[in-house]
Amino acid sequence: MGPITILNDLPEWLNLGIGFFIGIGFGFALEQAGFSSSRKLAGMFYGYDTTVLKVFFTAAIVALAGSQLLSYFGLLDLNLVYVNPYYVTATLVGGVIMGAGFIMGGFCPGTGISALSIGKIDALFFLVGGLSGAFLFAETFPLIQTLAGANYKGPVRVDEWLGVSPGVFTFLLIVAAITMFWLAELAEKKYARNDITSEI
Amino acid sequence: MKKNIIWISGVLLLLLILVLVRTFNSNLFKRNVSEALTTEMTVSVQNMNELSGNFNIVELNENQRFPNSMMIPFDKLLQKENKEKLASLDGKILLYSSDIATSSKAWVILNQLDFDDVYILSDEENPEVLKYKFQPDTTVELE
Amino acid sequence: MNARIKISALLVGVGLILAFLPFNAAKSFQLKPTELLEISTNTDMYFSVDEVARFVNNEDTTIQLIDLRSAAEFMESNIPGSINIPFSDLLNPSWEGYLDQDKVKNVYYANGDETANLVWAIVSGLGYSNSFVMKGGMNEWYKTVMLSKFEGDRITPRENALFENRYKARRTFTQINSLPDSLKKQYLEAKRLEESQLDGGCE
Repeated sequence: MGPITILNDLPEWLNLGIGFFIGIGFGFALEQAGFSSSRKLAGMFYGYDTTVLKVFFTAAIVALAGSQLLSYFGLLDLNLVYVNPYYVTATLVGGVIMGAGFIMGGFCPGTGISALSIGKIDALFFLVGGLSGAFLFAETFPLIQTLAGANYKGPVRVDEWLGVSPGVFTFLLIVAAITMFWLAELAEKKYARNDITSEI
Repeated sequence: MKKNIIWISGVLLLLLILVLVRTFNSNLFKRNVSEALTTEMTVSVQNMNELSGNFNIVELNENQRFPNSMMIPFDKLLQKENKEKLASLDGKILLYSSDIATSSKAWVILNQLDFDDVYILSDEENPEVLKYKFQPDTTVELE
Repeated sequence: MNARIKISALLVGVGLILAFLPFNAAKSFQLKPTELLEISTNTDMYFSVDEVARFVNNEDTTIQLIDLRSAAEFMESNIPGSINIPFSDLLNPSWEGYLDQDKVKNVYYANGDETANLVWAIVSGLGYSNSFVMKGGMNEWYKTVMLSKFEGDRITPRENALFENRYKARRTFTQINSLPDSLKKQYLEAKRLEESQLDGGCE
């Protein structure tokens, strides 16, 4: 299964099976963490609930530290890990659209699926909208091609850009993330809202 | 509180030990593979005497061909005492075997184990030259 | 002590260890030295030129011949069905799909025995399976397949089969390599395309 070297020798069905169970675990964790609630997700933007920030950054730093360690012990081939190519303009525009969609719809795509699976009707419409948007994007791609391809930087990594080793960058990011969590919890106290879940 | 600190430092210590063991384990390949492509590797029997500095011939076969050479059978190349012997040699190491295939493979292994100044000793002046010339048949056409 | 503080402390500690690790972006061998030595002493890694001639005659699709010589030497003459990966270009990531796979047997050759065995040891060290060497290289191919003649009075059935095989491979070799350069390029390009399609589209 991709870059994890010890899994390469397993038969394909077993690899797919492992992927299936990881997927189940991921969905379960998302729902458990309350990510199927759009109030929780939108709370990120108003500052009363920063779970989203904490969860995603924790995932990022754990994955970063773990992949560095596994690669050092030869269990993971980092050369095979896909690095997204960086299109500056497209990233900025896309980020704005994604953020706006996030706060208005109350879901990001993954949590939308998680919410749909517990039967939320708004999530159904959110996902149909998302799919139509992807379809529209593909159909109108020739018109926005210049914008989408502008300022192409290739598959760059932050540590290369900063000129430090991946390990040092990992350490800096961990420290930054923990500082951010602390600030986020301060913000949660400042912008706290009453829990209205029981009233609905 | 105290228990937690012990637990956390225990995990970190274990990790540190694993990392140190890996870093100082001499029984692993750690060198960049591209070194094996860019290092100068071949010396022929004809011009080995023009080499500058000391050199030692290490033979990987059973039958000794050069006087004063060191004999290390290929399959015992990585035994501890043999590795120590190789490391203690002063000057260049020339690997010889009757079949150049064996010395080539030994060269890659030693190169990737951070041995420098190792060469393949070749019977022929240039083992990688084509000794034949292709004779085209201009009457043929592709079917 | 709060769970989040525990996890934070643990992560900062791991980060500190990582920050001191030597940075090694380069590729190094996956196999342990003793493992590589063990498979190196095995003689299963060789195919004789007669066996390769049979692969050519049967157009065996489970075999991929890989010519490690320079592009110029490759254009001059190569065994039909080969692709050219010059020795100095071996670690170019664009070849990785050919070298690291589990579908076909890769048979490496150059003019002699040195380069092919170096490459065999390198790719095997990297953990790529299905690697083989054509014993003797192009020199042996010329000597045995292209130029050998049967001399003697009575030919045994076994020798007969052997020479049939050589003559047939010799004809194919001469035909393909006698093509003018432009046609040969087209032929090789067509073969490469055909293979990249088989390979699938994953960059």
